[in-house]
Formats: sequence, C-alpha cells, structure tokens
Amino acid sequence: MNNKMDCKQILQMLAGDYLDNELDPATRGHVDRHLVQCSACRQVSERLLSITRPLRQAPKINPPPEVWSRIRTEVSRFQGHHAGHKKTGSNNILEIFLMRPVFAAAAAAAILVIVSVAFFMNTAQKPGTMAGTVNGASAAVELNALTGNIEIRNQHAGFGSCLEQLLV
Amino acid sequence: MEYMENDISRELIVRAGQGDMKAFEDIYRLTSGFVYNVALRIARRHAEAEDITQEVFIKMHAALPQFGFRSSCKTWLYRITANTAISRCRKFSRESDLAAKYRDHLEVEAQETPAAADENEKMVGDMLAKLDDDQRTCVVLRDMEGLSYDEIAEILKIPLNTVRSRLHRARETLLEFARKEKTL
Repeated sequence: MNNKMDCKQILQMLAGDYLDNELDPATRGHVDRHLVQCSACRQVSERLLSITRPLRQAPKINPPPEVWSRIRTEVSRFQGHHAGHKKTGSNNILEIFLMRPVFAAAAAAAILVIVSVAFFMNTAQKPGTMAGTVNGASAAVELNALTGNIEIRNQHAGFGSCLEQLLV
Repeated sequence: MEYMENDISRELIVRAGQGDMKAFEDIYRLTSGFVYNVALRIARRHAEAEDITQEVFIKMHAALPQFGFRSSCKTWLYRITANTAISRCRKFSRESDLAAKYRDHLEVEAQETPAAADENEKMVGDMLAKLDDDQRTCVVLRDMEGLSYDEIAEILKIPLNTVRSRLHRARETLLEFARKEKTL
C-alpha cells in the first residue's frame, strides 16, 4: 500500500468509523500510527474532532411540564372513550339516546318512515283494507319489500289514525 | 436490542399497556428527555419538538398493549420519534431562516457559563441546519445521543452501510461549512 493510497483510505475512515470508534483495534492502531506520521491527515482529523465536539457537548434540554399535562389529558380522553365502548350494548344505546336527543329524534323519524312505507304498500296490495286496519285497535304491518323478511307489528291503539293523517 | 442500556422494565411496559397511568407517567419521566432532545435537534424548533413529543407518547400509549418486546422499548421510542420528526420536517419544509428560528427558540439549561452555552448552541444550530433530514437524523443519533452504528441502523431500519455513508457525507458537509465560516 503506497502512502498516497493510504491517505485516501485513512481520510475515508477518519470521517466515519475512526471518529465514531467503530474500527477494530488493529485498524485503529494503523490509523493512529499514520496520523503520527502524516500532518495533512492529522489536520483533517483535528478539524473533524472540532466540528463534532459542539454536537457531543450540547446540553440536554427537558421538555416543559405542560407537555406531560397535554399528553395526560389526551390519554385520559382516549381511555374514557375506550371505556365507554366496553359498556353493555343496551346501556350504551340508551346513553347515546339520552345524551344526544338528535339521535333519538332521527331514529324515531326513520322508524316512522319505514312503518309508513310498509303500511302504504300493504294497503296498496289489499284495496279496501285501509279503513279497517287504520280504525282497528291494532295495526299489523308486514313488509316483504327488499329482503322479504322484515316484519313490523305495532299494537298501539290509535296508531292507525296517526298514520292516516300523515298519509292523507 | 440487547445492548441498549437503561431500557424500560418489561413490568412497567405491561402495566402501562393495561391502562396504569402511573406506570405510563414513569415511562414518560424516564424517556421524555431523549425523545424531546431528538425531536428538537431534528425539527429544530421548541414548539415543534413539544408537538412531536406529545404525538410520540400518544402513539406509544395506543400501541403499548400490542408491544411485542421484539426490540427494546428505547429503540422503539427512538424509531417513533425519528420518524415523526422527519415526517413533520418534510411536511413543514422550510428553506430559509431555519438556523435563526432555531436559535431564537432555544432555552439552554446552563451547565456551562451562559455565554459559552449560547455560543455552543449557536454553532450546533448552524451546523444542523446545513444537513438534510436523513443526515441530520444520523448525526443527532450518533453525535448527540451517542448511539452505535448498529443501533442507528435498527432504529431507522436502514442498512449499516447507509448509516456509514450518511454520517460520512454529513461530516464532509460540516467540514466544508466550517472551512467557509472559519469558525471551527
């Protein structure tokens, strides 16, 4: 290995493995001996040490206390939300309706529309039964529209008259 | 990673994963320092370092129940931190007065005299601002966190030679910067 080639290889190692103590002892010894003899490489080595020194001596800075407060708040919110999902289904649905009247209103409206459509289809298929069904004490509606398996029954007296008013 | 020292105990991780807030706070106390410092040095602004730290620990909390102990907790945290910081750097890429912003926001905890610490921080800010995101991340993990090449490769999930070449290019850039500035 001639000296020029050696310098090129040494410079390659100086900026990486040598500076970072990643060389095996034998190779490191070889580089150290070269540095004693070669002032050009020694100068580069000293400059490399001087650029890494400020980085290695930089003080550690702690995060401000409010960072933990923010994290704790977020995590607590997540845990509360997660715990809410673990509640029993009936309680959870009841809670949703109680806490959010809009959901309850929307659900009621949806049920009313489905029942109305079903009632209308049932009456259209059986002309002349509307009056009897509407004025009866109970309204029974069977819907075999899309799935053919949806059955809705309502035993509420007076329900028919409400429907009648809506359908007119 | 067996060789990562002072790792978080398995018991603490399991308890935190089961929802024990005290255990999670203990993990935060043990690790928030390096998370914040890595975030700060990569993102270069305190406000972003705070946001990154928050994001990292919220991600960590969500993932703790599934933590498989295939790598050390510290390696895992370093990885989340570096990825989050790099991602934010790329998202909010800023070309111009980075070094000035960085200096303006630094609040140095004086271990030396304040003037010397300020001077060192100025130099650190100027140097880190000269590197691209990938080089800066490697320099922060190596020179500021003292991690080995193997650890950096595992954290960033890149080959060992990529770590080596990024650090090499970073040092060349810094040497050139020092030559022009004649400050070092």
